Amino acid sequence: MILATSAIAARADAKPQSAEARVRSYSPPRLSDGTPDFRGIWQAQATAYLNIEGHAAEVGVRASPSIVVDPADGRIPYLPDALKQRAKNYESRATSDPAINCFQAGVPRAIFLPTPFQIFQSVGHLAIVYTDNHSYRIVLASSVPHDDGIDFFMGDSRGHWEADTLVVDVTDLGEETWLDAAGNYHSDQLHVVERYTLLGPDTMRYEATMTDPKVYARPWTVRLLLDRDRRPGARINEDECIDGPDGVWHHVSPLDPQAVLHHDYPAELAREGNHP
Amino acid sequence: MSTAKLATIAGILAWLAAAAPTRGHHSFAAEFDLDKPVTLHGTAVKWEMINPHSYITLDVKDDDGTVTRWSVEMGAPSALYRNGWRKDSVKVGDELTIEGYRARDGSNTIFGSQARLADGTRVLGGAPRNVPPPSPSGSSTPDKPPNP
Amino acid sequence: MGKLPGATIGCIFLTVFWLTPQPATAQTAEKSRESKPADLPRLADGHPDLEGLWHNESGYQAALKNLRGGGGLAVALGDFHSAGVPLPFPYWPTTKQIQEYRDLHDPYHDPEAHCHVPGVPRETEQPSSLFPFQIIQDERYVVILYEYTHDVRIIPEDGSSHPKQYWAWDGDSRGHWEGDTLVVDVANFNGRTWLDMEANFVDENEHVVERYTMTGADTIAYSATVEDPTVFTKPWTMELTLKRNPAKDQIVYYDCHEGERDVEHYPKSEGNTANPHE
Repeated sequence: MILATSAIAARADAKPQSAEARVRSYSPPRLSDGTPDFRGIWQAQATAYLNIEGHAAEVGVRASPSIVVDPADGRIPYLPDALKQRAKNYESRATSDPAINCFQAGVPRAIFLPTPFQIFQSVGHLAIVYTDNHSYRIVLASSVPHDDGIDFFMGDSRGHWEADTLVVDVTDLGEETWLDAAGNYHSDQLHVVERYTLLGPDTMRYEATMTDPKVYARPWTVRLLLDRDRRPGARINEDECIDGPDGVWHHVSPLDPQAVLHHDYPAELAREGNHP
Repeated sequence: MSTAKLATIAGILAWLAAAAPTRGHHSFAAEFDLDKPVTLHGTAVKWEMINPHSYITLDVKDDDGTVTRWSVEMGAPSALYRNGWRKDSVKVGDELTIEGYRARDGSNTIFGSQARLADGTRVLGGAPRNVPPPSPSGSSTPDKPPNP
Repeated sequence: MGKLPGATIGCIFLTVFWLTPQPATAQTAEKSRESKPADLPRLADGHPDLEGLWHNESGYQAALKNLRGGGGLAVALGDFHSAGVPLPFPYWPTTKQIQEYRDLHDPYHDPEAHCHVPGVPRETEQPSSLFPFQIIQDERYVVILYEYTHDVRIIPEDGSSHPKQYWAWDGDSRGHWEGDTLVVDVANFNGRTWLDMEANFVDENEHVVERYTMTGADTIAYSATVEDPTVFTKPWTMELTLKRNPAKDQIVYYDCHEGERDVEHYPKSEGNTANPHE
């Protein structure tokens, strides 16, 4: 796994350390209660949103290896029938990917979308706001039981700290989200455990372990890096969809002048006269 | 509206309405006709605890054996959840009696205002917090407007 | 509303208790200035700590005009009304006609019925009497996470200006403090939202100034002054009382669009010209 460049440079002349020791040697800024300060705008480097298992170069997108680090072969350990379902999903992805119709991305897909998210944090509170579909997750303390008995597209998140790593336990994800645009999927038994660790001031490591006995033969883990957006004025733009004439919902960028619905009151009043 | 077999399982009448609090996103009367009350007795085919409205799909059998499929719309799951509803609260095959108001467009859709469930113990309705439970007589009007 | 004098900075252990509901009047700001509550929870930067789960106590502006079943059912459905919401709105004659037409013939086109975010100030007033919102706050941002349609408003407090090329359902929010009041200036709307279920509306020229004043540990006096010169002849102000939810309450996520299949039942006479059932 590749550490942040600055971390490598800083340690180029130091004696070799284990990856764990390198991570432990970065002590992040903290809130008043001592918890690491994760606040800010973050975005994944990886292009796993296309395919968690890696993909060839496409127009505008470089080739990418798998982000699956366990199993070692980088393949999601599907059960045999589930593998067939994944193939079906892949074949029909242009129409059956739930994200096509502006459905929320779920976990972990939302983390490695090509749009940023922002972590808001204060003593006792932590929330993650994604650009995509203005989804958000409120990470409650692990002492609060999960809301079992109801499913959410973005799941139900409970967090605790292990040293300087935020560990988030996610359940109740339902079964309607995919893991990427290539048809990788899960059942309503999906259980995700995420680990967020600051490696340096502007780099965070993200790991997620997926368990789903209906779909996967065993748990498997992905790992990728998130970069902090340090540009002045960086923000999470609103992301709302509208239904298009093709019957499909489409994202509308608030930076696009076409986002504005210009009213023409005289024309609307003229149409009133034609009301049955 | 034809009558159907009465449910054989007794239960406590549960109050589904306080419909305005559950209709958080559009006008009730635009879609449902208060002058067309409907009572359905049938078998649950599906229970979907989803936003913005939850649905019970109900197969209603006439005396002559014809089965008509109805869709019963209810409130938002967060409101139902706060009143004890869970995604396993209605199971396929449950015998239900549901009263409501018919959709204006003539489809087999009602907004459910009262229900007698197979186990009959749920307080329903997506009513806001602190709403008192319905009176056992099953009157169709709560004693006072609910408060959030 | 002028500047409030600085309040004593104190660190108070927050207990949840129910205050007597305060009437949402235009004098609320005056009262809070006179009583100068020193027992508000505060952050390290000295500002009142608005964090927590809140709802609009002033009620839900049910589209009572649209209920055709009569008063009895109105009671059964919950005869809410919003205290402090001025009706009628100061429309131009043309825009008044538009509102009346949409109210009677086109409720199908209420964007909220299609799971769009409600916009400002609707998100605070109408769905938030039923579905709460969570505030998280630090010295840089106030973020409001609304349960309804998982709407989010990120409010920077850094004194930055509205962007030029940006148009959104919820607009663009910029916050600053005037004493103990969080003042939020909202512009850059895209003209796609309504104000309520009675087809009161705004367009792309909307501009809102919100004020959040904590008048007690569990109460926020909220006001929104709305101006939209192409819709209204003059600005108008809505005042609401926001109350803290009980400590054990939490957001129950409201996915919306993913499960929406109800709006197709709006009849043609209500604006749904493509109703497949009629």
